[in-house]
Amino acid sequence: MQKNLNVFQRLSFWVSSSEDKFKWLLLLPTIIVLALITVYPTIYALNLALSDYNLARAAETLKGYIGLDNFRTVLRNPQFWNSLKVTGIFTIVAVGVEFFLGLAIALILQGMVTNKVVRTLILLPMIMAPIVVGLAWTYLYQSEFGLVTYILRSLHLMSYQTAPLASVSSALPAVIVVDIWQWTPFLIMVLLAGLEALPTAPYEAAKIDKASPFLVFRKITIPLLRPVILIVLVLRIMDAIRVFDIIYALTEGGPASATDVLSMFIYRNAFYLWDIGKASAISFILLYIIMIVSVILVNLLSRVKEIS
Amino acid sequence: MKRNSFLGLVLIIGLILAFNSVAFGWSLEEAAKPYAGTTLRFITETTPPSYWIEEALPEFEQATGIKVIVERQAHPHLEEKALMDFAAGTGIYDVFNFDYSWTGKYVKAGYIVPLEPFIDNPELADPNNNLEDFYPRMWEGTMWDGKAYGYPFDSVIQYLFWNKKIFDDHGVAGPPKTPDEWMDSMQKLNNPPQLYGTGMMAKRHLSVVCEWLCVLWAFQGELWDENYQVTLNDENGIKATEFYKKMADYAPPGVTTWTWDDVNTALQQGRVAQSVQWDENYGSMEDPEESAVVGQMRYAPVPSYGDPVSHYGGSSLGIPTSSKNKEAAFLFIQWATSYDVQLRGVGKGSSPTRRSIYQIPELREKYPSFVATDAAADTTGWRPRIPEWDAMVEALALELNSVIAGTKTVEEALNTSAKEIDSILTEAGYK
Repeated sequence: MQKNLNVFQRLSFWVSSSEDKFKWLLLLPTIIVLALITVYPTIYALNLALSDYNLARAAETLKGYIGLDNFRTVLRNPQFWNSLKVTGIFTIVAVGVEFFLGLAIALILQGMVTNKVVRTLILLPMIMAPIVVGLAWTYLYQSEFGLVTYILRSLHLMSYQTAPLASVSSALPAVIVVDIWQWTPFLIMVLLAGLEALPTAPYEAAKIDKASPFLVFRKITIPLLRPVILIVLVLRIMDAIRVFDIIYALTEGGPASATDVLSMFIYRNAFYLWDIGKASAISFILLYIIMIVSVILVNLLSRVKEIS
Repeated sequence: MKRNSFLGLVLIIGLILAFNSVAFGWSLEEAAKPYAGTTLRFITETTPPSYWIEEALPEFEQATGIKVIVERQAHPHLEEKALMDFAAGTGIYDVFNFDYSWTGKYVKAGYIVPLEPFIDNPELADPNNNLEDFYPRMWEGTMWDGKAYGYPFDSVIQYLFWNKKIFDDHGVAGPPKTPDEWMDSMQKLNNPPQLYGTGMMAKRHLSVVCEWLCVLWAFQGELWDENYQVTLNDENGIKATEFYKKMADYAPPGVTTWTWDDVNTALQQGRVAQSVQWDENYGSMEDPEESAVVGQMRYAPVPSYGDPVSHYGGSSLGIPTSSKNKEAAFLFIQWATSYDVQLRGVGKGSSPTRRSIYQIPELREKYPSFVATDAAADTTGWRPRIPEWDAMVEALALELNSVIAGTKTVEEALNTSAKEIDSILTEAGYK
């Protein structure tokens, strides 16, 4: 059989096979880098999560491998459940508001001829480093001279006895506002791009049928936009669940435990108590939560794709 | 006889001179010769004395040929950086500014070395460096199991800063001596939003624990007794914490987010009439560029129902076990904590740890805090120095902050803290 092949066929066999090898060769650096920066640290962290490891204790006093003890202690800690609750509220409210605001603004901007300057301005908060955003808002929320505090007091929305970040009831909303301020532009941009890429035919048909704008929005825009919506929601939810920078800059989890999100709880275990083992265990719990949530959302996304 | 005694005298004088010439022969330049060209990394806190050392550094570098890189970090991040280095044994840092309450933790983990081998080495130790001049309390803060692990660097005593002009303008006599007088003065001076009766460092942070400890001691309370039975939630503890909670009524809004930094700004701007604060900040009150209260600030012990109360929070310079330049590091520590360097930095950030400096009449005249620190230095209260203290700070900071933020009652918060501290002590085998 082999002998019957002509030169071109033989050549194509070698080319295709070496192409195959070459493909892997090209991928190899990426695989190595990925293994080094994600796979290895994850395995290492799992090892830490299953060990008694405290930076501030002498090596000989550490118990080494302790199985699931770290997980058990964490799950018994009421502060963990509080952090979980705070993270949940933060994620749902922040991403929820960001989505509706983003969609509304994207719909407004859709028909308008926006120039580059306007688009850049909209993107500005998103470009800033979260820690810088946090510090800037610390001044806006400052208890005596902060601009936001001043406005709230002038409008009689806040008394002189308290301040946005100082009271248990207003600290979490204040932090959520900062997240909304920073990340709504991301939703605007992605949703706007999605809107502009929608096919025009269904709209023309709806126009002929004299459908109301609301009906068009509900029956055409939303279903067509659904894949885009799900993708931005997956990205934003994953981000919001592991929020750290702005909380650290604004409140460090306080007052009391009002803004004590999971990342802050991990940070405190790692860098105030030096309990790296426990901190790694909570990190794994956070990882599982994010994985479960994103798997659900990605499944929804693929189902939507199948339908459309 | 006369001739013999004369000869004897000559011999003795000769011997003294000979010894002295050895003593006088010591110089930093000579001692540092073998280490010229070394680079030291000094990790320290963003406190006034660190800034002063950075300013004075060129003279050390010139004299020794040793280069020093100063890395300043805020209180919690200082430990983050240091512990990572020490645990990994990388040896990045050669000089470490450590809080006295960390001594046990670092010694037990084997992260810092005792200084005796260096102090006893005549080639390194300056014979004119009088170690007895360090306040005994501060020296003790560097000790563990009878060995010294550092030279006291930063005095840091917490007591009452009170603005005499504000007190006088409002016809309130100061300083308050008892907690009753103290609360009374807060109430009388409180005139929001222009002026508040007191500042507070009530953030969920080490700061709230430090300030509350002063009040606890003022009410004759203690964290635990000599048998490690937790007593912080006894009658005195409850009264003290009720008092601490009431202070917030006369404090600016937002003190649940304040640490010592915010208190300092409020004192400098004359926004608060008084506040418990660390003495190392005395210089910033007198700095016309930053302070609106130059010449107005006075200093007193925390008002108490018993003996005067102040709170020692100082730090020392030590050498990490992982350092590869220990001898050069010792020379730097000796220089940075020397009488001369501490004295020249007065008013520029230096927060001396030597009694003789606080007793210079001109300085006592110019800086009223010197009189207060000198008086307080021998009687200060301590935070526990056991390695488990970090975990207790975590528990106390959350509970005390919750009291001020209004989410927990005093009893609830103290009982929870007591339970947690008790279990930490039991687990660690103290009882």
